[in-house]
Amino acid sequence: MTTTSSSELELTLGNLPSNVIGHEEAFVDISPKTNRFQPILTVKKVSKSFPVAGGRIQAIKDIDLVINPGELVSLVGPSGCGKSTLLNIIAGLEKPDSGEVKGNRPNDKNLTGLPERLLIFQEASLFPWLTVYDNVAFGLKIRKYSKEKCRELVNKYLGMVQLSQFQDAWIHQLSGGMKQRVALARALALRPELLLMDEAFTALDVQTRQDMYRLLLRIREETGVTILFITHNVEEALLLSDRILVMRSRPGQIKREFQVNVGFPRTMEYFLLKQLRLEIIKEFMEAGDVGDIQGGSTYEQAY
Amino acid sequence: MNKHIKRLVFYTGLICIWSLAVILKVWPEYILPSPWGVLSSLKDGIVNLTFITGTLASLKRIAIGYGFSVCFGMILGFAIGRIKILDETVGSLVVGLQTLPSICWLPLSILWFGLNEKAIIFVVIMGALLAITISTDSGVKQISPIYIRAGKNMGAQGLTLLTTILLPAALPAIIAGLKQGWSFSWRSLMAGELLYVSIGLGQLLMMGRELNDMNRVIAVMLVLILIGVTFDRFIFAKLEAAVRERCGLGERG
Repeated sequence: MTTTSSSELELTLGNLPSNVIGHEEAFVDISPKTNRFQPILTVKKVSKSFPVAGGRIQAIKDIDLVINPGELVSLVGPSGCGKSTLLNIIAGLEKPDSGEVKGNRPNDKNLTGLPERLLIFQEASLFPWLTVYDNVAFGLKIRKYSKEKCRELVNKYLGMVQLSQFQDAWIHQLSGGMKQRVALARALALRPELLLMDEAFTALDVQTRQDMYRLLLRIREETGVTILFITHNVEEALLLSDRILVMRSRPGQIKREFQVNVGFPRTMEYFLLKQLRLEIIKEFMEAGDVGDIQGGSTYEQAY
Repeated sequence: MNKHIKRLVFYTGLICIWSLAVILKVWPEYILPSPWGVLSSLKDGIVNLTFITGTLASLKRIAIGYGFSVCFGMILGFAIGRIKILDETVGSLVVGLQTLPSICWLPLSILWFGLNEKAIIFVVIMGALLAITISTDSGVKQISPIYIRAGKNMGAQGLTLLTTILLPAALPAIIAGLKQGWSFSWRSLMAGELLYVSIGLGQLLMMGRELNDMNRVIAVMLVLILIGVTFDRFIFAKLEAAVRERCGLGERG
């Protein structure tokens, strides 16, 4: 069989006219009836420990977290600080030892039975036995959506991540960046209130990552989806977030919160972002908890 | 195309050498029969329907025995792969029993069921069941947890999770198990049919020996090879290739 190499695929994409999914498609807010005064996620005093050889390790302790509709909040912390545990609890894949997680879903009958919070993983979580189209349609098909409705939603969200012409491709034929874009489309097709992105861009190269920043910001603008973004890359958090929460390890706790009152597009050349970066990194240095935190001296930018 | 020409030349050469050895009377005819003798024995067997009924009888046994093994082997494999208590108990039993060559079940089977159809089908089942169980089990255990997490996060639970995530994710291993199970049960069936008389290809082979009819022995062996190749090359190889391509292993393999 003939397969186009990933780099060629990326190249073809680059040549697409920019209006393929242009703004004139007047995108309807995916959560029109969300009460804007209610947080989309409330995490109250959530703790979780795991058994280890010779005792228990406290992964996270007394986490309080509130995310408002439409926000993009980053959670920054070194590996092993319990970020992923917290995310699994928020996603409903794990039960906390104590505390509670509360969502806020509008009363829209189109959304009943659909998951409120969806994860985007660092590694490729796409199903290799399905084509790109069937991957995006997965959540719809298991809910017995009609063929037409599936097609409509899949086309819309594959279009949004600019991969419409790859709907019949197999997953192994895609590049890393394309896989993450399909993963985004697959999550968005289920119209969640909150996207939980677990180091979603960490495995990508710098150039692809910057394209993904741009795409993520545009998706957010078009859909109004709320995003909780987990990373150990301080600059990534600064370029994307409205708010940055700094996490520390053993036990995992949220130590400080930074507001990022800078308009988009941002670049790391901005004085305010540079200042914030220093402050955040200082926060980790003082606690002796730098781990694999990346402050980076590279000047990445997000348009 | 080139490959096929090479093969044609090879087999023509082989038959020429065989014919030459027969013409030069290197061995007496009851040790090395002639290709034309084998061919006419094959033709007789087909024309008087003995080979056809024998083949059908054998294929019916394997269809029942192997079909049963596929169903229950997969169910058992999934259960052991997903349920810890079963893994720790039944799992070890399955691994232990698998070391037993399946024809060794024949004496037990004859005592249980008597000298009949059931006994031989039981041996066929024991040939394939455990191989399919073990492959399914290991296929299920090797599923990347991220697929299961992603599936659950999107709302796949219970039976939906099984059919939409676990089964397709474990499919490459399951197909390898089905192929292995097939060859085990095919071998067990032939051994069983050779050991006691009832209609079937094994029995035809044994009759050839008793009648000192070397032509017939070789002719039945040709039929066996033909059936084996049909299943291996045309069914399992195609199945494997389809799965490999989907999982992106196609180009590498």
